[in-house]
Amino acid sequence: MKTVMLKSAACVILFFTLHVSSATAQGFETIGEADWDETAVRRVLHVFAYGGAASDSQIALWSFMRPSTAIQEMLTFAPNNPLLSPAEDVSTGHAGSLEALQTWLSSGDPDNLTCPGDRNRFNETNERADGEIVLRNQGLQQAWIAAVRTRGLNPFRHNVGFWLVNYQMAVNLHDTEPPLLRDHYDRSLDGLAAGRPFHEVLALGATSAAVAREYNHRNNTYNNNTGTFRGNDDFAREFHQLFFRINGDTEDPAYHEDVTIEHTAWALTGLQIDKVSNAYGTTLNREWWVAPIDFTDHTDETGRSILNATRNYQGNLEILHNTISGATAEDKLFDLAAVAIQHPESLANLPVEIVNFFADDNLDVEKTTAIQEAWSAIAGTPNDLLHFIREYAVSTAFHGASTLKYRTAFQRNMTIYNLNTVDNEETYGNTFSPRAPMLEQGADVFVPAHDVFGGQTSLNAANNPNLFQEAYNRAVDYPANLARTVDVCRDENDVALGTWRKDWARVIPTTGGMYPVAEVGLWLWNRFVGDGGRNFGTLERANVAALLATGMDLGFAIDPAAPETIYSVTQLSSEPLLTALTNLQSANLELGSATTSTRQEANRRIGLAINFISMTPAMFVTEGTELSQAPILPPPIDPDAEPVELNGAIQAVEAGGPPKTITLSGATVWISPETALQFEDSAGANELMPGQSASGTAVENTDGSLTAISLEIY
Amino acid sequence: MRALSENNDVNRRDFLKGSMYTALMAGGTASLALGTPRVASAQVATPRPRTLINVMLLGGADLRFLLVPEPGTAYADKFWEARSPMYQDNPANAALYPDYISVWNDLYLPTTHGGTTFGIHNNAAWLKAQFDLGNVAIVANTLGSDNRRHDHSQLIVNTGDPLASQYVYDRDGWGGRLIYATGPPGTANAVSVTNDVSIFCNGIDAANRNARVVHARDTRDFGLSNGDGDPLSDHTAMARALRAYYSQKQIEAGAMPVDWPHRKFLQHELAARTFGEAFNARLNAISPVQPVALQNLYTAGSGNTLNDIGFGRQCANVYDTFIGADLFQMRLLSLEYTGWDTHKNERAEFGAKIEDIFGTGKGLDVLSQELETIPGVAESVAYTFNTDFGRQLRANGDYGSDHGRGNYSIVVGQPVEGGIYGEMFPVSEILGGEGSTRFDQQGADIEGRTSIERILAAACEWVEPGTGPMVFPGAASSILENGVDLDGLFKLTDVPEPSMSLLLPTGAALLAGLAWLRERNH
Repeated sequence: MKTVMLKSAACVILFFTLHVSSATAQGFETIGEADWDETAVRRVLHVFAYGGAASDSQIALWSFMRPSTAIQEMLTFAPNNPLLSPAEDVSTGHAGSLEALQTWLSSGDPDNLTCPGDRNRFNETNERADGEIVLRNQGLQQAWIAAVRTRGLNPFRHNVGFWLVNYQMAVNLHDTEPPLLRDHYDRSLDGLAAGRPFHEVLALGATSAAVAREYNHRNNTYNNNTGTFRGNDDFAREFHQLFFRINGDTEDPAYHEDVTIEHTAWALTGLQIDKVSNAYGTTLNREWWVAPIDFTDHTDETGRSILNATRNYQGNLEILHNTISGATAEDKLFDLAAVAIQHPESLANLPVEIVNFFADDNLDVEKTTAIQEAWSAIAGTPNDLLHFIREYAVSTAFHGASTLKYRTAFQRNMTIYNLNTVDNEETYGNTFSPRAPMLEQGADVFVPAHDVFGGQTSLNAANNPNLFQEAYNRAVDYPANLARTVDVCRDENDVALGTWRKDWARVIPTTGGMYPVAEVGLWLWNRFVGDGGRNFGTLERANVAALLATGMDLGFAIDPAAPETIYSVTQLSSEPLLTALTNLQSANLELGSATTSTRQEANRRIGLAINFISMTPAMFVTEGTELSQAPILPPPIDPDAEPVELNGAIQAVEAGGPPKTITLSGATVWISPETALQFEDSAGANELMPGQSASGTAVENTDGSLTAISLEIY
Repeated sequence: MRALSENNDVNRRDFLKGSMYTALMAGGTASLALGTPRVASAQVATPRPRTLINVMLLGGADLRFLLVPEPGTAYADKFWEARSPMYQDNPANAALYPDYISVWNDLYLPTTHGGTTFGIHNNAAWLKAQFDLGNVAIVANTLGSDNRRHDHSQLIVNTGDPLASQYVYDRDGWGGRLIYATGPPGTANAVSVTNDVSIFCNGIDAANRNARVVHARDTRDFGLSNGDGDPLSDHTAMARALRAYYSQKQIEAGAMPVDWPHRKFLQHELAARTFGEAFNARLNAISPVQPVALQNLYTAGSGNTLNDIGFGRQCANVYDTFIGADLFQMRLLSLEYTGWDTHKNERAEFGAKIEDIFGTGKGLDVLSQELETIPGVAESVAYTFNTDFGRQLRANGDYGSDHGRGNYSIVVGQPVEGGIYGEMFPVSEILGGEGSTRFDQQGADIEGRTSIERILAAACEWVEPGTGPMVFPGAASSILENGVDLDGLFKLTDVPEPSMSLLLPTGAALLAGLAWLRERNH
């Protein structure tokens, strides 16, 4: 009997979880641990979670972990992720859905921390001048913005939700009603949080009321008596081409048009939507649509006869050379989705589209192949999308030097806005919203610029000189958007209830109790750009230092009598300006002053510096980096080794605790000097949580590590 | 230093009107493929170089709804049988349009050319008037994309490349190629008045697709802010900071690789700064207030607001760009109009959109009238209209039409040799027995007989002789309907000598074309 000893790490690690992935994510190579540093962690947070809201210490903690362990904590689909966005108040209890959040934020609930005078920005309805109560798009848009920004929720979840409803399964607030769109959003995220395979989430979208309104197939009918279809084939085409990325390239064109698309149109019958009188408190009949769709024959609350069962095609359909069956449209579409996700075109195109959207505009053949292999190994299994994103997020394909992602106006503004928020006191107290600047820059939440083809793309944004101009002019003409330091909370009658004041001191670390400009500048750059200072060169440092030290630009700070003078890098790197710059950088920001006005001025200067940083080219694109270390690979197995039996239990390891003996089986495993254990189980998806145990047998590898050959988890 | 004013609303245009700002560039030598603005004269240059205005109708416009057959023919009978649901889209319209003659009389303007009588939708009365003047060429049975997918088809049409790979968006467009073929950097540019710069405008320089594109999304809010005039304000401090920073960053860029990802944004800053001040000065001198007729197109409550305010603004932007055309070295304009994917309620949807573009007193009519006030423009401008694809011959079950392929192409302008090119309503569509014609076939569409490459190549040749084969190397071997000759698509006229652009040696244009060809072959 051989006992495998785990050594606790000396560093601060509270606990770790042990994850057994459903199948090997072939294709991706995990980033080496030497490259998994704070910059890599921030890169993940910036790309996938609008920068996140994790503390500096949490970011450091993740960087100490094995990347494949850290990523399980960083990226989850649960409504709350206390590590990614620590809870600060009761908002966590209203995070279950966008509907719940919007309802709470707009309510008179005593525990609603939004200023009473600001709650109406989240209102679902509005009263028109003619007295009609109508739905209001802005309420939903502001609720989503709040979902990203509010500490205690989960910005990764809402980034993915945004992608699903604005791109992958895009619907437009101009074509459907906010409550239907919100239902589509919430059900999609609920599906992901419940671990449903991605094709089922796509099927949820395909059977949603919002999509039926968007494409109008709610009016499609099949007369089973006469064998006659009546309707349009719009979504029948886009179900394949947009949702699953099946373009018909591998099918005979006539078959694709006349069988696959046509028969999908027949399946998309019987999706009429119910109405409820005065739904949402509205008075206009045309806004009374409610979700979800009821696929039975029934009478809705307004007396409309809904014959969704009768008008759905009865029988099996041939689609994609498969027999698709189901009693209702919903059943058929779920059946079809299970086929579509395994279609060669979907396996090839869908994962590439996912990575291209989130993370990389520079995919080459090698990266594309890795992406396709990784997805093919797990597509159709529970949690496939989450596993795929996690594996990618810690891969060399993502972190490598060839990766670059131009930011859309959504990504750039929401990241800046999120990271410019100190805490929830600011969330509720600072009334500025990025909705207006995003709109100027062509980014309207839930109103995709290209309609069902999605919102602004990264290439759209990067190749849009006007977008740059708008962002630039916003920084110059409205610096207070990011430099606001005080706001007054008022009630519905405009009576002041209290004052919020910006307090960067709550998050910016001190150096010996001081806030040296040079260090604050670097901290700000790392927070907002997240590149470890790689692009924080002489020009950037000098300009940030001037704004922090004096509240004015570099030209004015050096010579107030000639502020228009422009100084070159060479001049700034040599005397006399070098000394002047050093003096600026060694100045102290009075964030800790006992005087309110002094503190306020220090916070304002930080805001100006953030304005400047937000307009540097580095803020418009995220990049990978040169990787120094070979990726982690499983060790070679000694083919002649005799199996050994292992005993023990895998449990959560606490900091400073004794090593744990383990028993494991059925997985490829290798033991590292650190505390984390890596499993790859080809048998099925099992999340091995702290407290669980496993037993079995293993063989010893040539380097002394172990490979388990049978695993039972209990 | 003045205290921060949290609600400062800086009106940059007002500030610039009184501004005497000049930029101090400390040795910046950054190159700009767009060139530098011509002399910021208060005069507008004449005569004008030929300028092509391309309007992309996004979504797949059913131009068979714009152009219809005359009643009383076998073709018209099948046409009505297949498409009547589009017109009878509610009980009232079903009663109003019991037959095709009622539709013809109520919705279409009879038009005759060369013995063919057809109808033009009465919401396109300006187009009809232009046709009667000989300024409209209708090319029937055209084909751009042979697939029925929006994204891929738009890529094909905007690049002018039938073999364009799907999902490859970082590539040149035919408008960009035309610019490079027209002349070397600094002599010809494209101007985009759309929200995003279309792939159509993308140049052949892979490191900077926008190298020769001016983005004029809002001509009345153009260029970079210089603050509020108060040297101590936060606004002016930010303006000085960013201006100085970018001026030095341009120098740093010289040492960076061609494909440095940050380069795009330096280009945007330089272009906006370089052209912004010159253009704003020109506008202030010549047209400090945009013509009211154009403003009305995009102003809610004006009494003549277009259904699509965005298109109204694009029309107004076009006018302004002609005022500064010599500053921009403008030879090409890019416009877009979305929403042509009429799977449902086509009668109302299509009617509203076609009126915006071609209606009397609407988009292009108002624009044309205002452009008449700028000497030399009317006779030097031509419009091409492109779309993803055509639509199916039959109505679907939702009072609309589904994706097809073949379509009509329309070219408009005084330089155009107006008329009908091709068989307007192909007899082949009604051949076959009862229930067996193309109109009866599920999914059938207009058969493409003439490639849009040929049409657009002719347009390129008109813009600048010699560019057609460079921009569309495959045009000469692409499909052409029997009996159709597009060589005369544009009237034979002398090439105008633009007074303020460089006289290009022919070799320069050839070199540009060869460079493009090399990239295409790479």
